[in-house]
Amino acid sequence: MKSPVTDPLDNTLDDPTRSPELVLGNNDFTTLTAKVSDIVLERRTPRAWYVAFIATAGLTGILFLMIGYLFVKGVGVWGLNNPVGWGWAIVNFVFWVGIGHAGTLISAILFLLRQKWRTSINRFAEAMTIFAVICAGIFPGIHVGRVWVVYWLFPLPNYQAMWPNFRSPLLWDVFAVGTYATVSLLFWYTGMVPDLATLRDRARGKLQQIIYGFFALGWRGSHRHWHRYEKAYLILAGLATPLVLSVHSVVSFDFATSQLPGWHTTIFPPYFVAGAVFSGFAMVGTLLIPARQWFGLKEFITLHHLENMNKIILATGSMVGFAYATEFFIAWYGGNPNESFAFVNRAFGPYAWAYWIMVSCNVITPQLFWIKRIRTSVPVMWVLYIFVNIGMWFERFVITVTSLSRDFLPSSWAYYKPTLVDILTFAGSFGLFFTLVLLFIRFLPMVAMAEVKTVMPIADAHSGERRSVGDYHGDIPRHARGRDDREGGSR
Amino acid sequence: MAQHHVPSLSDTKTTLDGLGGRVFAVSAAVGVLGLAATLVLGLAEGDGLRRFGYSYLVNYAFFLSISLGALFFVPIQYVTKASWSIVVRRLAEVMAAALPVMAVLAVPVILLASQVYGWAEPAARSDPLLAHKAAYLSPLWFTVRWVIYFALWTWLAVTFWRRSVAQDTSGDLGITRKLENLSGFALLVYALTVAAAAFDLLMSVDFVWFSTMFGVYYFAGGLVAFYAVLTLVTMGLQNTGRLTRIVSAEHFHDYGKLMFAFTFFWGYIAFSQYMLYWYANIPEETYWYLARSREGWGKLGLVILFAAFVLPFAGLISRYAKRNRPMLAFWAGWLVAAQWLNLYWVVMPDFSARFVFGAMDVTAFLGVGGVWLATVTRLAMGASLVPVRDPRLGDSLRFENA
Repeated sequence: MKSPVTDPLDNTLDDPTRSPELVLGNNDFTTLTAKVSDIVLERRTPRAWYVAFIATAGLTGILFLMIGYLFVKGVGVWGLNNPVGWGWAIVNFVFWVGIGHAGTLISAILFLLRQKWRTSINRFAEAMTIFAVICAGIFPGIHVGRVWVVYWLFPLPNYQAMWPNFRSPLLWDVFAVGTYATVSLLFWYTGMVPDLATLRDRARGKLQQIIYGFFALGWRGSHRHWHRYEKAYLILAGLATPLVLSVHSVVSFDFATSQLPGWHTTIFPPYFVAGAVFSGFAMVGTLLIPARQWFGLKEFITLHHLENMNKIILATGSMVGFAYATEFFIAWYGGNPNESFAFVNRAFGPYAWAYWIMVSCNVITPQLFWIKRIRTSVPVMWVLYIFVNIGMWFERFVITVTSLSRDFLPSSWAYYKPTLVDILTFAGSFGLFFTLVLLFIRFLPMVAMAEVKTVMPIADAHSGERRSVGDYHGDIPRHARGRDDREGGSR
Repeated sequence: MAQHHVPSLSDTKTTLDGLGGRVFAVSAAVGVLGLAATLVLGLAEGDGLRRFGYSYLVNYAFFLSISLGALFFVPIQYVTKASWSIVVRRLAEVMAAALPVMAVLAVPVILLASQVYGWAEPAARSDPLLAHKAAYLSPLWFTVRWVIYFALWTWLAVTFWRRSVAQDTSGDLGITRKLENLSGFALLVYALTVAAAAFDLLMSVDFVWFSTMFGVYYFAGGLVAFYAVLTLVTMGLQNTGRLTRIVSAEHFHDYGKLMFAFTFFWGYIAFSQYMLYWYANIPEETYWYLARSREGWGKLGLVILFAAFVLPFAGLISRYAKRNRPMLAFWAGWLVAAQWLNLYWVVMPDFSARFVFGAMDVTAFLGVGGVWLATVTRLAMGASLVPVRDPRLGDSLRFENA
């Protein structure tokens, strides 16, 4: 047996007879509401927030400067050339789209799987999804070369025989990412309406009342409101679930439909999805840990939540490792010399350094989460998240660049290098991302208050009873939910 | 209705008793007779048991995929600390524990390799593509790998089943903890071995063709079949007065969701695999699908598209269908058939370029299936059908889809 836990905020002890508490520290509905909404409404904005905001806004400025420079000069300012026609822009696009996936997985799939622990982290993860998709969307848009016809990405009426090519996965991307962004935004916003109403009701400034009131859509918390809200939420979760698969599958098609060794392989769609969830959870963790620390949210975003996230990182990281191994095996088994060359070249060619960064960050790092002590140590996991973020960016770099730089014609082989513009544009996209995160932290409720309340013990009419029985000894006490019975009871 | 009754184990029967003996006897007889009939029909073909080998492989792969589906289901319940499934977990445990018998049933596959697997045919030895991987696709290493797969699967399946049964008497919470600790590792071993086994068992029938997705494809289809069989077995037991009330519409609703989810997942995997090869249009990859799109196999492929994906997707999407017993039973039976057809379509075009279907396919189904069911029944007879002292049983009995 383990020694008794003394830290009141440690709820990671495994006890099969009951579920761990998801909200710690003797909170009730009132204290939860106060602690979350006061961050936005009452507490003074910390000075560090301003410092961070100036820094990230500055980086965002650099992003737009770089984009402006690109528009004036053309894509030649990037390191692209034959044979590497896809460089950092595509790498960054795939990286950012992938980051978004954690939000949709937490908000939609974990909702359908009745994972109650999601309630403390889903708001944050969904916000991050939207911001990541915004960052992602920039890159293909500025990559088109002739930016003045960027609207050709969309299926416009055929007045110039200029229909986009529907057979191109690049066009499918427009639909996949567009749908994803729309549904994610709707989902995020719908879930936030009750909380926005809470902020409206607690706000003391007139302007705050008007703005939060406007976005709260007249929410009064009536029975009918809740009924429709829950239906809408369930439907949006159902719609968002296939989107978790479809977006990154379509992104993987950009590569896998080609005939290029290292790109064209059938496991790409699920492998990209697993990698996306993997990187997304790492990014959520990277941001959540400082946020819960600085804004006093450790009672809501508990160690148990972080441990669960780490388990998902372990699972998806292992899937990614499994896909690497399968690709390597089939590259040999298939007997195509170009294919096996592509893989040997990745591991031992000029980009071997990038490949081994990828393998050590994505395959080895998550395996450390087998160890409970590492899984529940906040500083250690934060460092590991950073490694995963790095590794997943390098994965996309390795896939994109190694296959292109050594194509079928050795005389055209070249070593791709990014230019300063490439680097600053990518750094700038982080600036945009963090700026949006900082605005979110400052102006919106970081924790989904209304949802967390439903998983607190006092939400259960029988909160005094033990939720589960250690040994089964015949009848369990009659249990009433205090709600209408779902199977056609009185309505 | 503000309150409702939470069922207890005393409300129903939780052992097989006399029924077990009868089901065992009938299914064992069907199995033995089915296998004997298949063998007789196979010998009558006069093709050195080639046709027999293919029929047997389809059905062996099918029932293996169900047991492997169960071997996925059980650790998943532990690793996620799920509670809804406790009342039905024992059924999956015994289906997985049938894997040692599936190891015995693998013997004909290995013995008849030279009739079924292109790489084992003497004529193929001069093929340069085979020479490249001859060390891997050789009878010796093929056999060694199957010994390894079954050693690992048996260890996992028997551990989860035996420990769970032991908990019925001891009520030891340490067992739950130990199995939870094992479950993550079990899934890792599972993923690696099942993917490799799918390459060996089905993909290597044609030693030239390859697809990185193939392991996932076999796994996904097997899981659909497993959930469908679990649904049918649960309903069958309830029809004989067992597990009534304790397995409620809530649990069937979850079966329906899982069947729906994995039908979708299977469709996603099947589509991705097909589309990527169709799109890139590289002959060494497309020929496999080309062989499966002509001479009648294409029609079967279309049937599978609708039977294994489009229709069950539409049929299982509504909450009503998942909670309506006859409808759920219908779709479960339907999906079993659809996944069987899918494996038939994967394997048989290598036997004959023109569509074939014969009595041997039916007798092999009855033969392997009979032995499989007899094994599962025999294993289920030794203990309760419910893990009676699992710490999460109470939650499972109280479970509602909220």
